[in-house]
Amino acid sequence: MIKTVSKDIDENLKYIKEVLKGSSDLVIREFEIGDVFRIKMATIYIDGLSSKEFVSQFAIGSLFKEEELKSFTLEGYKTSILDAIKKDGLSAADISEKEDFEEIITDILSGETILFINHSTKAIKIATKEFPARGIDEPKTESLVRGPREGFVESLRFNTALVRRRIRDKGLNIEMYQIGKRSKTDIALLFIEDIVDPKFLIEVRKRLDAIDIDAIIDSSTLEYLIEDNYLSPFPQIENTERPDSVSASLYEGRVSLIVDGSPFVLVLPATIGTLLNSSEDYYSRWIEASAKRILRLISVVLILFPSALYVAITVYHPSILPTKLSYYLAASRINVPFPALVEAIMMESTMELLRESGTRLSGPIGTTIGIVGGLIIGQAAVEAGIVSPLMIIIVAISSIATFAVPSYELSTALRLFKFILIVCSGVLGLFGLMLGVILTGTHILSLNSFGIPFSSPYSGLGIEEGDLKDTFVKAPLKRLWLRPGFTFPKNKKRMKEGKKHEK
Amino acid sequence: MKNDLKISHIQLRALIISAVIGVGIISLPNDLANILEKDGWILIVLSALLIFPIIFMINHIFKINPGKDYFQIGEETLGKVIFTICKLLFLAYLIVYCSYEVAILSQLIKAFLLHITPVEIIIFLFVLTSVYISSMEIDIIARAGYFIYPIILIFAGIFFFISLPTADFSNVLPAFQSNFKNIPRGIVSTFFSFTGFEVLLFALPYVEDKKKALKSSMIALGIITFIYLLMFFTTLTQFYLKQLQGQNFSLVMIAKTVDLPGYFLQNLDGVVMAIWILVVFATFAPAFFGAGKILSNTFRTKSHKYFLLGLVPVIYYLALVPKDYIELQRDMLKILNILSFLSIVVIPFLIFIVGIIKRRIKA
Repeated sequence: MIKTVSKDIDENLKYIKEVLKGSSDLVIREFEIGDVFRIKMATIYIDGLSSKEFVSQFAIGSLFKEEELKSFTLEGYKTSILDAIKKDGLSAADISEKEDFEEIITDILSGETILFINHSTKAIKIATKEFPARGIDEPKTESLVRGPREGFVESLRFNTALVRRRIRDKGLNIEMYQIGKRSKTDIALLFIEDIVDPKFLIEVRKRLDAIDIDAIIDSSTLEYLIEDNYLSPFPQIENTERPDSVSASLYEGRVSLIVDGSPFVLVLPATIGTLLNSSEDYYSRWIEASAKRILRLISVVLILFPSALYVAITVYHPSILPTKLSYYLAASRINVPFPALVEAIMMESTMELLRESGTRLSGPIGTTIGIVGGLIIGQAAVEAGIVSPLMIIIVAISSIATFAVPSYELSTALRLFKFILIVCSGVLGLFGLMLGVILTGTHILSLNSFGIPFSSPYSGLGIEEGDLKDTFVKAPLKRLWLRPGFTFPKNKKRMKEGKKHEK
Repeated sequence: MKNDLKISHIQLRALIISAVIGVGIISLPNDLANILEKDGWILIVLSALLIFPIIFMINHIFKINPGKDYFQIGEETLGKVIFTICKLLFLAYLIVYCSYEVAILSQLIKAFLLHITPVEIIIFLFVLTSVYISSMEIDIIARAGYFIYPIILIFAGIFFFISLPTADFSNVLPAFQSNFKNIPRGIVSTFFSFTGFEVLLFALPYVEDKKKALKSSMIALGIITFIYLLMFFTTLTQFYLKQLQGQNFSLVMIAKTVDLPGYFLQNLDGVVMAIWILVVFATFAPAFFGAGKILSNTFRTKSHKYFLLGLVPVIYYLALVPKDYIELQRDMLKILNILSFLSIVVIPFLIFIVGIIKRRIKA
C-alpha cells in the first residue's frame, strides 16, 4: 500500500490498476519520449468522462512534438524532467502537480487525466473533464410569462457560471466542498461576503462539515441532511431551477448550495414568506404582483380549509350558513349514503390518486387521466349519488389552489395537513377544526430554518425592517430600498431611498 | 445557530395583547353594565390606569437586574424561603386561571357549537392540544401571539363595522347617572379582564431591545383598553341597558343577530366562537407555560415538558369542579381574583420595594 507517487512508473501503474481493477472504463496509455534517453510516461483517464480529443492533442500530442524533450540528454537532468514538461511539454490550460494517491484516484474518477513520468515523484494532473451533459434549457417546474428562460442543469460548473454571469460581484464567493465519503460529490456554497450574516454562514459550514454519508446523489439528499427538523413535512430549505432567482436571493443575504448532478439548487434560509414568492413577482408590475401574492395567501387558505369546513358545517353546524344555502346543502346531500367525513376523504383521496398517476405519465396520456378523472368520475359520482355536487366543487377548488403555491414541497405539506383538518372537523366540528389549526400552527411556528423562524415575517421577525412590503405584497421597486431583515444582512441598503421622477 | 431565545419588542406587544384578551372579552360588556350601567367604560379606564404602574414596576425590576430571569431575581431579593411561597402562590394562580379559562370555554362551546358533546372531552382535548405549544420556549409562544394579534384587531374592527348599521348611539347617553359607590367593587372584577400581562415576567428577560420594551408594553395596554372600550360601546349601542344586563355573552348575541347586507352570512355566532377559541388559546398557552416553568424551576429540571403533562389532569379536574356557569363566575372568579392580586400585584411589588431598599442599604 503506497501513499504517494513512487519513482518507478511501473509500480505506480500497477497500484492504479490494482485499486481500480473493477473499472473497465479506465484507459492507460503508456509511451516513451526522447531520442537519446527514452523516458517512459503514461496517461490515465476514465473513458467517457474526459475529452479523448483533448488528451490526444494537447497532452500526448504536444509531448511527442516537443523538440527539446526529444533531444533530452544528460544535461537535462539539471532541471528536472517534470519542470521541463510542465514548462514547455504540455499545451493544456489547466495543469497541476499531485503526489498523494488518494487525491490522484479521486481526480481520475472525476474525469481528469493524470500523467505519470518515470523517475519523478510527482504526477501531473491535466484538467480534461468533459462528460455528456444536458444543454441549458428552460426550467420545467418554474415557467414564467416574462423573465429569463435559462434553467440550471446537472453539471456544477455550468451552474456556477450561470450565477456568476449575472453577478459580476467581487464579493461573490464560491466555496467548494466534497461531501460523501465514497461518492465525493462536489458541492458549491455561494454567498456574497459583505452581505451575508457571518453567524449564519458559520452555521451552514458547520452543518456541511458534520455530514457523514457515503453518497450524495441529488440536492434533496443534502437538503434532508442539513435541515433543522427532519421530521417535519414542511420544507425548510427552498429549491429552485432558476439562476436569476438564486442571484436575487444572494443579494437578500441568503446562501445557496449547488450540488453536482442536480439541476435543483438549494437556497437557504427559507421562510413562509419566501416560499410563497415567485420570481415572476419581480418581473411584473408591483400592483399585479401584490394582487398575486395576496391571491397565493388565499390559496393557502383554500387548500387547507374548504373540505374541513364542509364537513364541520354539514355535520355539526348547518345553522352557520344562510338559510337558503343550508337548505340547498341538505337537499344536495339527500341521496348521499355516506357521512360527510367519508365523502370528503373519499373525494380528496381520489383527487390525490389522479394527481399521482398524472405526474407519473407523460404528455397525452396525462391529459387523458385528467379528462377521465375530472370529467367522467366527477360527473358519474354525482349522478350515482355517491357525493354531493358541492363536494366536487370544493375538491376541485382546493386542488387547483395547490398549483398556485409556487413551492411544490410547501403545497404537498399543506395537502397533508388538509387531511388532518378534515378528520379533526369530522370528529369535533368547528372546535375540532380549531384544535387542528392550533396544532398545525404550533408546528409551523416551532420550525426554524437555520435558526431563522420559518414563520417569518408573519411571526414578527423583520416586521420593523419592512419585510411585509416584499412578502405580503410587493411594493414598487423604488420602495424596496432595504434588504429584507430576516437574514440579518451586514449591508442593509440596496439603493438610495426612492423618489419619483415627476416634476 | 444555537437558537438563543430572542423576542423583539413588537412580538412582546403582540404577546401581551393576545395574552390579556381572552375569555373575559365575551362577557365583559355585560359585567360592566351590571355594575356601573352605562358608565361601565369608567371601570375599563380606571383598571387600565391601575395596571399602568404595575407594568412599569415589572419593567423596572428587570431593568435593574439585567440578564436574570424572574426566578433568579425573586430568589436574590426575597430570599429562598419566602420566594418559594411566592412561587407556590403564583403556581396556584396560574393553574386556577387555566382551569377557569378552559371551564368557560367548554361551557360556551357546549352552548353554541357542540350541544351534545360532553364538556369533559372539550376540556381534556383543549388542554392536551395546548401542551404542544406550552412545551416550547417563550419565543415560540411570542410568535403565536404575533399571529393571533392581527386576528384580534381585525375581528374587533369587523365587529364594530358590522354592527354599525343597527347601532343606536342614543343608548350611550345619559352618562354619569350610575351609582359611583360601585366603582371599587367594579374594579375588582374588571381587573381580572386585564390579567394575563404576567407573561411579561417570563418574556421580558429575552426581549432584545430593553428600552423599547417598556414603551411596547404601554402601547399594548393602550390597545387593550381601546379594544375593550370599543367592544363595550358596540354592545351598548346594540342593546338597551336592561337587555345588556340580562345577556351573559353579549358579543356572541350581537354576532347572532347581525345580518350582513345581501344575506350572504347570517348567524355569525359560530364563526365568532371559532375565532374566540384561538383567542382563548392565546391566553391559555402562556399561563400554562408559566405553570410548567415554575414547576421546572422549583424542581431544578432542564425541561418543563413533563410537568405540563402532569398538570393536564389537575387542570381538567379543577375545571370540572364548578357545576354551572353561575358557580364558575361567582366562586371560582372570587378565588381567582384574590390569587391574581397576590401573585401579579403584591409579589412584584414586594420584589420592587425590597430591591430598592437593598440597593439603598448597599449604597
